[in-house]
Amino acid sequence: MTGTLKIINDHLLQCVRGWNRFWFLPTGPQTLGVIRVLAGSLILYTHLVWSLELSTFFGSQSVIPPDYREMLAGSNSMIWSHFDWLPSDSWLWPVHVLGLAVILMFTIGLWTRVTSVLTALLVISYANRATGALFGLDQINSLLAMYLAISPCGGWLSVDSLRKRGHVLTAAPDSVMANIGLRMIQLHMCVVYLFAGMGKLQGTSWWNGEAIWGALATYEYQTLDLTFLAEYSWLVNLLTWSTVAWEASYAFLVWPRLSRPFVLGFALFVHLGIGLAMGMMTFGLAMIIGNLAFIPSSCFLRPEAAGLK
Amino acid sequence: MVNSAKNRPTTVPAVGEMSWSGSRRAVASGLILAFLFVVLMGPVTNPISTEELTAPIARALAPVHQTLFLGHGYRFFAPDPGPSHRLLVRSSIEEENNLAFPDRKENWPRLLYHRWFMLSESLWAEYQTMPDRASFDAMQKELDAQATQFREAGKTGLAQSMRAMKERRAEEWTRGNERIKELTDSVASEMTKRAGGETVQLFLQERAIPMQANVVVGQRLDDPKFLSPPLRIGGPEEIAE
Repeated sequence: MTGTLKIINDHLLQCVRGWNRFWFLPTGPQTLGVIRVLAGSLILYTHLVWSLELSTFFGSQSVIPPDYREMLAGSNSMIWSHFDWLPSDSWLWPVHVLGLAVILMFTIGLWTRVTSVLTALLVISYANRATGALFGLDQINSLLAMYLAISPCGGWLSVDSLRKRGHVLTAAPDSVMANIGLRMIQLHMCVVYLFAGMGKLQGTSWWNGEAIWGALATYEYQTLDLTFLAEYSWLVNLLTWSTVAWEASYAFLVWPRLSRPFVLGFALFVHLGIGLAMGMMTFGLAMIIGNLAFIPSSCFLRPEAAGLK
Repeated sequence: MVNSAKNRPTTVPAVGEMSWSGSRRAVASGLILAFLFVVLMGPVTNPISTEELTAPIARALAPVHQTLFLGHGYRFFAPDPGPSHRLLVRSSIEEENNLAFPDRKENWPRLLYHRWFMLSESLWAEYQTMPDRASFDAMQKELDAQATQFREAGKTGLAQSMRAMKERRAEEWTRGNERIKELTDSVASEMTKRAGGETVQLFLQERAIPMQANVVVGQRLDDPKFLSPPLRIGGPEEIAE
């Protein structure tokens, strides 16, 4: 009996140690810095594009009325947007330009502690106001912005680094929050892929191998003509099966070092493919940026700093 | 100049060298677990949830999901890639004022095109999921019959639950129709501004995905044969042909 208790105790202790190592080992800000620059650029572009139809989507006479969002979410909804608080449409452009300026500052890493939080709030606010015109890009933008906001993402490759440490490539000290931020992105990406994969497993076309054809042959999506694949059913079947197998297993195979390069490599292939062939480059890039969370900070160090020279 | 001392490789300290105290780690662990639960419950409860277990959790977490724009289902292209839908706008002035969304030529850059595409998909989803009056009445009648059956069998609890469901559905149906009208009116108003004239008629049109065999024999993806007849949506205004 004592032996059994000892085994259980040792096992629990191992779990606690593993948990602590996973979440609380300090890590460098390099990966977060790269993700901030790339995600910030993408978020800036996303919101710059809104400028082309700003009053159409965000004005008081918007094509998607604020009441619609409230009715969709139900009474006592907590969905919020700073656009709801503007006294008149004359405030629309100044507030939008100010928002773009904040996102730009976040992207270059200026006053990152504050601008990262403001950027996350802006991403959520714009998305909340544009209910009905959203897609996966907005979901990934918001998750990246949210986790960057809680982490020291301005600790490298930033104006903050230049100001505080004299060079944009001089990193802030390793920190636990950098690790937690990266872990949250990693786990959230696993959740995204797991449910995307499981959802596909419910569909007939993912089982009979035709789903990729369905995606490539939808006229409204098409940006690259891949209809020649109609002649190669075996290839369509292979691509379909590979995609669903990869997506459903991502959450498990991205952790072992042996399988991680293959899982991340396939992610690059799939998301670039979606971007090029289906006109969703922004979404494809957002997913690729999310996958960068699995690249250790040491990979972004200069060779001599990483002790390789 | 790079400060090489600070630009050092990431070190991996032993567990004993962790910078956070045990109590700080314990609090952080609790917060992390709670947040992961919130994140996980998004796709667990959206788009499908269980009536007795996950739906109440989803309702309880809704304020957090809504505040942080979480709670998504992440079912990209699942369960199957489906047909696409576009919004057609018939002007009251001339045919050349007619509009279609998304429009590859007009909606640029591609991200903006995608916003209009998603709006037409959202409109379609709203109309598709909302039963018309006759179908809705038939469903309600069915619930009534079941409630009566249960009551006569002495299962008053089940009968009450059927009645409660009937009331909830009636409320949802009314609210849903008001919501769809709100969106459609707003889209019509915007389209009237764009197309000119005093009014417009709105239609939704589905484009089926061609089979591989169709394409092999030379049919194009934009062949009109893959388009369904337009479905009229919105107000009662009629525009003369």
